[in-house]
Amino acid sequence: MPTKYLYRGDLAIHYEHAGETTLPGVPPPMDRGAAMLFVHDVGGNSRLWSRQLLHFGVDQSPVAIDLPGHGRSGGLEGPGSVDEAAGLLADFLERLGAPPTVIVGHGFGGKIALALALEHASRVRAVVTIGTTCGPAARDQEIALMRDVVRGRRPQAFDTPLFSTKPDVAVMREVWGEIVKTDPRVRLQDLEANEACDLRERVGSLSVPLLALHGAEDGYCARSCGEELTSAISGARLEVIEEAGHCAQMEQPDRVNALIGELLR
Amino acid sequence: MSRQEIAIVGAYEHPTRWAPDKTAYQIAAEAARGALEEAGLTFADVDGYACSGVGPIGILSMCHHLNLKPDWLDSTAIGGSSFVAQVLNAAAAIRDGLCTVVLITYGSTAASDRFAVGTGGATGGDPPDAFEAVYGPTIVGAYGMVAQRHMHEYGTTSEQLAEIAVTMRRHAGLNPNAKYRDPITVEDVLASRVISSPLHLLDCCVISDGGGALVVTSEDRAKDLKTKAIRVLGGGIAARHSGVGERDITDIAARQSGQRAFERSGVRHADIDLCMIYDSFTITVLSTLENLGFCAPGEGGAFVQGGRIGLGGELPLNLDGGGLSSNHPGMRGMFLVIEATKQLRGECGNRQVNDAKIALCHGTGGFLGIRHSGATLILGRS
Repeated sequence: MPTKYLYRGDLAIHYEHAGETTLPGVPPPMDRGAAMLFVHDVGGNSRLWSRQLLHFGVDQSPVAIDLPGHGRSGGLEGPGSVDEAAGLLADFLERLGAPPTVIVGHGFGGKIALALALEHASRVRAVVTIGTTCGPAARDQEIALMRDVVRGRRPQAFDTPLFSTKPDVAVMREVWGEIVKTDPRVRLQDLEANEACDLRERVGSLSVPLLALHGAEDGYCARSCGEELTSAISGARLEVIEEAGHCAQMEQPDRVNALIGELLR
Repeated sequence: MSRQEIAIVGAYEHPTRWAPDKTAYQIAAEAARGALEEAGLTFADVDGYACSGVGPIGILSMCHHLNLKPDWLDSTAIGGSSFVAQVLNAAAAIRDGLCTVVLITYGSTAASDRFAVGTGGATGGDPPDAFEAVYGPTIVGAYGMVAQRHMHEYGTTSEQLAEIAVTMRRHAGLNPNAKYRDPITVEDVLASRVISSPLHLLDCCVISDGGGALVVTSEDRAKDLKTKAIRVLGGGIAARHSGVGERDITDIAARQSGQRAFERSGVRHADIDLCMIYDSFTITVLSTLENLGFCAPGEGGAFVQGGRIGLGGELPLNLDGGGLSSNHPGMRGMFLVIEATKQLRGECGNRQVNDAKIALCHGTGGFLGIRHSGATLILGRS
């Protein structure tokens, strides 16, 4: 996939797109089909949307971003909060010259997508979340483990809740291979930002369509989280993806892509 | 006729520690621009060029990239100490009339390239490896072995080594560009996981992106430049290996290069206001201090304790936070000279050593205890 950088001051924001390649400083065209922005989870990066970019790149305008401190974006720090990340995405979409965009967010990225739709509704056409909770993520144990990793007391763990109970080893390797590239400090900041953000009071006022996808075997975010999210919003739809853990878009890309595709029609 | 004095007139450290959007060449070029601008010079003024870490004939590509047509070239490749050595080489070349303004550059994207500096298998190809490669040596393994030997010979402790890491982190807290700035304790170092016994994770330098540049010229030429010139007082370069039965791995190249540097500069240990010592690992600092003669062999452990090597201490070291906390893109020698120059100019703000007049830089390159280089440089206010 073609990759580009967009600069916010000195900070380089890296993103992948599926359109024509353009000169440096010139954003790719965003006018084919629907404009789509994919936002990764804690410690992830744009590569974890490879199957969506390939699929939607044929007749839509998908873009997958690396948040600061992730992937090939600059910065030693991640976004400090969900709202800060949402502001960054609003600015990013404006600089791309994108029309109202379908925001697809994974876990933490889904929460950022919700915050973006709540605060900058004019930039958003619809929101798709994958394994997202609108309340605190209740990942205290993981946060404690990451604190130890950051202090050098233990190596990074391979987190199995990302996957179903019968995972494809090649997919696991691909996902872990990307997540391990992220500085543990950034991963910890993501986890803390996710924990600190509670959108339960606010999501009721969401004014765009919401599709909440949920891996049936998601070890990070129970199905009840998806139910809580969709019940708070009129017209929101919950779909459970069988044989998928938290990282459903990598484990069951066909099913996920089909459901997102329905939303675009 | 009196000797022509040589000065450093440009010293620029690239602020980045993580630059996935840049190439190593780009970082080097940006640093070069920074160092030249500071001195009030342009690329057109440069007639001597040195760089390292860019492959066998990479210096030619760098000349192409920077559009330089130098009369003198140096791509010394003796590991992390290369840039320290290149200041001495540049001084000799300028004195000999081969060139007048030397630009030295460094750029690396080790971190964003996920290059495993220090832990990947590092030998292979040169003749002595035949006796080593079979055991799978790594850089951290070699330094770990020196630390182990030091502990065995002299009773040095992990707590003493940790003191070095803690001090560097404290200094990094005063450097807004440092990669790691949160304070750590001796307990934190000891509780961090062992990478190569007895070295813990926090005994090892960070891996970062980064780069820097220096501009060296004669003091005569320096007179009409914008920066305060910092004089090259003297230095020495040495190589150490375990050939012909020399097996004392705590006796390192710094002994030879340091002795030459003190002789040539006419400076005594007591005159040194601050040191910039290559800190790839905590043991590197301890061994270097002993071998440079700041303390006797075996006394390094006690020497680094009690705040002596911290800002405000008797011999402040690595005020930028060193490789242990600030930056280490693979070859740190460049930053030793940059920070020493800035300290002597008095530009270091809250990490400034009070009234610093003379500074010593020592770079180490390669595998300590196996084959390594040492380059010592003594700088002073003009």
